[in-house]
Amino acid sequence: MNENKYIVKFPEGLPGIEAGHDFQLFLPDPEGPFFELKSLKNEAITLVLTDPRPFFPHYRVELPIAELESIGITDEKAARILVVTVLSDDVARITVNLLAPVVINIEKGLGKQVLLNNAEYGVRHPLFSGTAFR
Amino acid sequence: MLILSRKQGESIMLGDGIEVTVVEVKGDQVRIGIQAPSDVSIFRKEIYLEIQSENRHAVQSARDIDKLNQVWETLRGKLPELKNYNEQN
Repeated sequence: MNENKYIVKFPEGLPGIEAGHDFQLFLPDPEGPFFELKSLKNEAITLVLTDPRPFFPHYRVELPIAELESIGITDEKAARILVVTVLSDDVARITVNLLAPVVINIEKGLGKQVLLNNAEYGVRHPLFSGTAFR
Repeated sequence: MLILSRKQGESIMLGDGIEVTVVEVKGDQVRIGIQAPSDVSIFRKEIYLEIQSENRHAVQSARDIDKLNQVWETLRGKLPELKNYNEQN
């Protein structure tokens, strides 16, 4: 993902959000892990997605093959994993949803939010909990 | 809503591809087995509702991404595991 802006289609949309299927994924700071996912249908609808790797080095997402195929992924290297982020004025209260990562096929511009059957991961996991931030 | 009575071990077919079986009934808990094609997603409803709710919170909270990037700038210098972030990509 070398460009800053990227069009991603979510054929099934995103749960709970009436924002159509087409989004723009934007990396405001090319050196940072935070992405903006903006609905093309309704520009007021934006979510922050975070690359979990620097925060949760042990986070592993095992995706059923059928889920991967539904967004055209045959090679796992094409799958970019991002997590939906709830921001807060209090940095310690910024949380990410590790149970339902957003998987993006970076080659074909297709995405899906996948609900993992993995009870280890929560939907409101503090982003900075695993770091020396505080 | 269609309501059916089933005993332990009995099943319901949804179309010709999905079978829902009552595996065990114990007090107020029922264990259910589901056999479905791999492209059918199966969720516990309360978890699905939670995902919907978190997505809506995420939209409401997304005004502050500029602030988040400032946090990131501060963090990156402090945390060795974050320093090499760029090299991963």
